[in-house]
Amino acid sequence: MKYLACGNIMSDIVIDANGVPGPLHMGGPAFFALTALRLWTKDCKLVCKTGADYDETYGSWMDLHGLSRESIRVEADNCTVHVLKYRPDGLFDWESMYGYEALGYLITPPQQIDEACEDDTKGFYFANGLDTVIWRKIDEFKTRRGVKMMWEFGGKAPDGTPETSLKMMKNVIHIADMWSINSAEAEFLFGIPRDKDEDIINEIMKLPVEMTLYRVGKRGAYAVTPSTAVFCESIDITESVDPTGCGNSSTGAAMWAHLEGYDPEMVVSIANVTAGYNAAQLGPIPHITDEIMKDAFEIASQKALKLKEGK
Amino acid sequence: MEKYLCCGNIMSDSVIKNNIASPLSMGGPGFFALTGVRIFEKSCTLVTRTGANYVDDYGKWLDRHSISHRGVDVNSEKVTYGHIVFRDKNNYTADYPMGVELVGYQMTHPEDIEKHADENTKGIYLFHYPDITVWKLMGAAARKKRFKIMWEIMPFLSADDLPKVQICCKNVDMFSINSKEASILYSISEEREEQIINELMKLPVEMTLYRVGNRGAYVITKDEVVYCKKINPKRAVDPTGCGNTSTGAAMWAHTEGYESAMVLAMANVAAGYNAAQYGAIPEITDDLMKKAYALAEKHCRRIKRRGRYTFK
Repeated sequence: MKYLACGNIMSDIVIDANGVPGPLHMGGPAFFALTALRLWTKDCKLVCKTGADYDETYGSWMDLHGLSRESIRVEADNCTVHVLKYRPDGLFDWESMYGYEALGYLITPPQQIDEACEDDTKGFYFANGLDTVIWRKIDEFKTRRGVKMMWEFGGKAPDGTPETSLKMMKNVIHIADMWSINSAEAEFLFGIPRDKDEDIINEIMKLPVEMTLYRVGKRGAYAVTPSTAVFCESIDITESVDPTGCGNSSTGAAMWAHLEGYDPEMVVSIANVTAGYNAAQLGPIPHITDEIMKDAFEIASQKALKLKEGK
Repeated sequence: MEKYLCCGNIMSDSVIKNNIASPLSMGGPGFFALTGVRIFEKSCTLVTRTGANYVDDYGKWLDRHSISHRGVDVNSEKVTYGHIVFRDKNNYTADYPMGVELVGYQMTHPEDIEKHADENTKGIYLFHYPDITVWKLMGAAARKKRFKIMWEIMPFLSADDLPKVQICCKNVDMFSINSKEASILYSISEEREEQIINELMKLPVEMTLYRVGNRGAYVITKDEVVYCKKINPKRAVDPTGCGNTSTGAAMWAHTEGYESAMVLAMANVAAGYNAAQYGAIPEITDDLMKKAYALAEKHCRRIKRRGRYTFK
């Protein structure tokens, strides 16, 4: 497969700001990224460790979309479940139903991604922290395989400080080819208020990656390269219902678009169209038909054209 | 490969009693179990996922005891560590400053054990959840590689886990549980020991090590129950890891074919040596091995002589 979505899959129960819980929905960074890839290409697969009960939900979704399960390893009884509690400010707190130890047990190690890569693999999405041993292993197989990586930033340095986290990020970011970060993470990392987009983007532009997707929440996102930054406001396909997973899905889509050679206008449009489809319901996009794929491409193309025209 | 594999996390511990913290010591179920086996057997090794800095202390311990590092998979930067806060002799809570998620990331998977087991492997120790998928994978590996499994169950269970524990036990040969865990699992108060033992006797395993804290332990088989109070070769300082250490020793003794009284005596001798300092036994010399064996033999004779400790 050309594109891999790697990392945890985890179901979510969303509790809204009024304390009202919703039903259980499929999710997790890698699964949201997979749905995003699948919106644009059929040549993609999921790489993860999970619980046997994934079959009833995630498995059915993959069958519906003709996706291979060859790189899914069932290593426990239960898929991770998270309870996301939204706060009035739109941010959320989360806790793990089966415990964080069980979550850690199912984290995708670099060697699993290595084993999942094939001769035609171009890129993989991976939400990852700052551990240098993990990065060394990624570097080793990436170089050997000649594949590119989209790193969705996650985690802090062991001491929890922005200074050490920034230093550690700078030590490893050259291993990734594409990067994705949101405004809250950027504020923490660079020590710049999140409303100062320009200052943050200036810092991002100095990083040794080909492209960064800088996500600014409800406002939209930027595709940042060492020489340019293109902003695109968020795109609602239908009424926006739930933002959970929009960051992961837009990141997966941006990886695909960048590696397919699209320009930053199209990359950011594709990312935002994907987030728009993802936000249209609780959980991931339920059924991606060929018609939806065509529609999505059309909407993104029109948006990219407008961005180029400065509209 | 070695005859015995001790599998599971290594993690350093600082024990906090009366608000006083001990220095960080080597520990973790996989490592404590290794020390429990190494007191009686040199053909043993560690199978673990851990941090690169393990070489600073655990690595040196392995070298001092001529134990290979082959089973150590460095998958992250740091060995995890925990603060173990004892509220009383048998009750503690554990806090992991580097995050419990990392503890999970460093947990041993059945594939690690299968990879390292070979035709020489006779027995393995693993500390894990009552997870049917994990134990099915372990059972399949054991049948393929022909080794026996000792499962030490992870704490913090609920009564709802009992059906899963019963299913998981079908894939293991030996089982280890302490009185607090058993009480929760069977919803029987810890004081009603005979009732708990009756339940444990129904498990589909060859042998269970039932640990009753400061009071000692039982070895339970289908046919007999043997009790031995704790054994202190030296003054007891810290009980952290005694359950893991005694379980490792019991796994070795049972797999080697020792009778229940000797299995139990060895388990309690190993726990006694472990309790003699904070952290794991620092140096296991040939002399200590001989002493431990002799002490176990002595207690084995006592256990057998004192019929009141044995009942059917």
